[in-house]
Amino acid sequence: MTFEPKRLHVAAIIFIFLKTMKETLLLLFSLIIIFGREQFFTYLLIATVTVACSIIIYSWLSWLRFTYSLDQNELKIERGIIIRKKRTISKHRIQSIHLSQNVIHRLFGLTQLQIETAGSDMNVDAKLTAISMEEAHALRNQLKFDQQNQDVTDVTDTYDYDYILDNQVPKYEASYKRLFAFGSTSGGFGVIVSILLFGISEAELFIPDAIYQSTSAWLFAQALGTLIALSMILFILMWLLGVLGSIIKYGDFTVVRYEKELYITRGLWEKKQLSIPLKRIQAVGIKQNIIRLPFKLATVYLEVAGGEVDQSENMRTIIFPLIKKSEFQTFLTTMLPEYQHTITEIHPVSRRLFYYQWCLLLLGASVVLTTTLLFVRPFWWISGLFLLVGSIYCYLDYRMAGVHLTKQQLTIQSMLLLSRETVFLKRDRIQALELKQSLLQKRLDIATMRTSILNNFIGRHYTVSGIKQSIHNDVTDWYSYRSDYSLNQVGIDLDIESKRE
Amino acid sequence: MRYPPNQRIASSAIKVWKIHGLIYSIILMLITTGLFITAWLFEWSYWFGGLSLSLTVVIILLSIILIPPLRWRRWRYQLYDQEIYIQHGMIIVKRTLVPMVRVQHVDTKQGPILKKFNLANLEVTTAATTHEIPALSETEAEQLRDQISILARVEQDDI
Repeated sequence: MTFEPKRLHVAAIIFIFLKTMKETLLLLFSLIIIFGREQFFTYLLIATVTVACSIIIYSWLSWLRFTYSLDQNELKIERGIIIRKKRTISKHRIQSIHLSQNVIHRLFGLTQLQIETAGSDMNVDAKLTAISMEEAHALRNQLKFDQQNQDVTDVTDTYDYDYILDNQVPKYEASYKRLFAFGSTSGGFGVIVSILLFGISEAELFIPDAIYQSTSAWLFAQALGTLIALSMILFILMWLLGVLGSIIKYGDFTVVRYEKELYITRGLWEKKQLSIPLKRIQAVGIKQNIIRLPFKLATVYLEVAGGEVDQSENMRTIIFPLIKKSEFQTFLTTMLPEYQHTITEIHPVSRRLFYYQWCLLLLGASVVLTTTLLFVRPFWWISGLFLLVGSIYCYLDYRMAGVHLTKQQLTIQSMLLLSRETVFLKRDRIQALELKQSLLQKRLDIATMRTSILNNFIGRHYTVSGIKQSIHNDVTDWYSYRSDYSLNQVGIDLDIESKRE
Repeated sequence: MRYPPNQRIASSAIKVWKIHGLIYSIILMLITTGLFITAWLFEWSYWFGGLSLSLTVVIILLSIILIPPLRWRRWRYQLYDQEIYIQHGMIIVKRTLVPMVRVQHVDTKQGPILKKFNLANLEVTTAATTHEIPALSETEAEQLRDQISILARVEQDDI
């Protein structure tokens, strides 16, 4: 391997340029919106050209001043145009190495290589924006399997498709039919609608007045039927865009199970490969939003500790975009046999939860009623609406909640933002367990249980309400380490008092 | 978690919390007086001042007289070899179990008011959560801190 400092591939300039451009684009746009009048046009043009030129020079310089070199035990990176920053990453600290390729990468046969370490600082990790494929594979092998002469059976091949087929490694692929269903039910097109509406309101600035006025006049002149048809077309367009978006993002989704890691490839536009070491998995869960619930469809995700694995989807890592609930058991037993499929055995929570919450709701509704009657009498019906929506919400909350406990794992099911989430937790991954109970709840024998696990670098809490005290006691006994070991056995000297003397 | 933990925090915690409440109330009282003065100077309505005054009275009642003793009564903790057990919360009682093997570090903290009463807060941090036991006597806090850090040394699995 090389000990010489190396530069990235020349194409890295393009990436740096695009990235910086993206960051300055907002500034440019706001400039255009503020000064976008005809008399300023030349100045604006000059400014834009100057900015673009300086970004090009900056990109070239950053590329020129960025070098990396691989030593026996560490990767060294030097960068910075004026202020030089040197970073050394020890091989032993490396948690995982990700490769990803977007369209430009694939045009040149390049890849981006990203290294994650165990530290709690997101910036510690290293990123090589563009290096050739062979170089990346060589680097990965060097960094990953060089430590104690671990048997180096040409590791590059293990990520190869043929290897997977030959060796019958457990593997799941998402069909396009599935991805289509995923996109249609994701509710992501709501976001696109709002972006488009924003675009229309902004477009007013750029479209010449005459056209704008004639168009709006024409729109208002149309019959109601035409307007409805138009909005339908717009809606369908949005929906198609949503579907397209998720197909591009999750197209060719494949998840492969190796002995010690899960390996995911996905994306049509930008190809992403991520490997997730099993020991970093904190929990497995499935999520069903309100649209998918009736179709018995779900998304399977992981909570992973450390490193930005996949920043999208609420900091979780999706390991399968859309699965039928009936298939989930097979999926879990083949891909993650460490976790048990316990969904069918989940106990619903106490019905008293619903009564309790509904009584609180009634109280809230009566407060709303009195205020509206006192101040804005014509709006008294708001309290009725409040009660109706609240009742539905409470009922869903009660119906979706549930727990199950086996010797190895705790299963929690609850509603979060109108989605049903079922999560499988291992005892040694739960960082703390909390029971919450008001005096009234104690009378009713219901309590709220909160488990905390680690997600990336922060805590994530899974809460379920309305569980009975007896179930909670079981969970506590299961979780408590008190009966696990005594300290004498572990060999810890507890005589602190005498030590302090 | 069938039984509450058996250790209480220092009883001077009540005084500390009362002082905290007093500080808040003084700030509120200043705001109220300010409102009355501006209302008098610029001939505004005295409504705002009145509202603020009643709010201040309620907060004084709650934060100085009612809440501190209640809060102290509820606050309990217990240290086992294998885990830390904490109870707090006035209306909603929260009981937390933190296994020693999950503890990443322990701190003691002390502000000027706590120092005056020879008290300190103990803070236990896991990978995902932070738990605080407030207002322990200085010596006890330090002793607990050392003890927890020794107990937490039990071999840990990955995270």
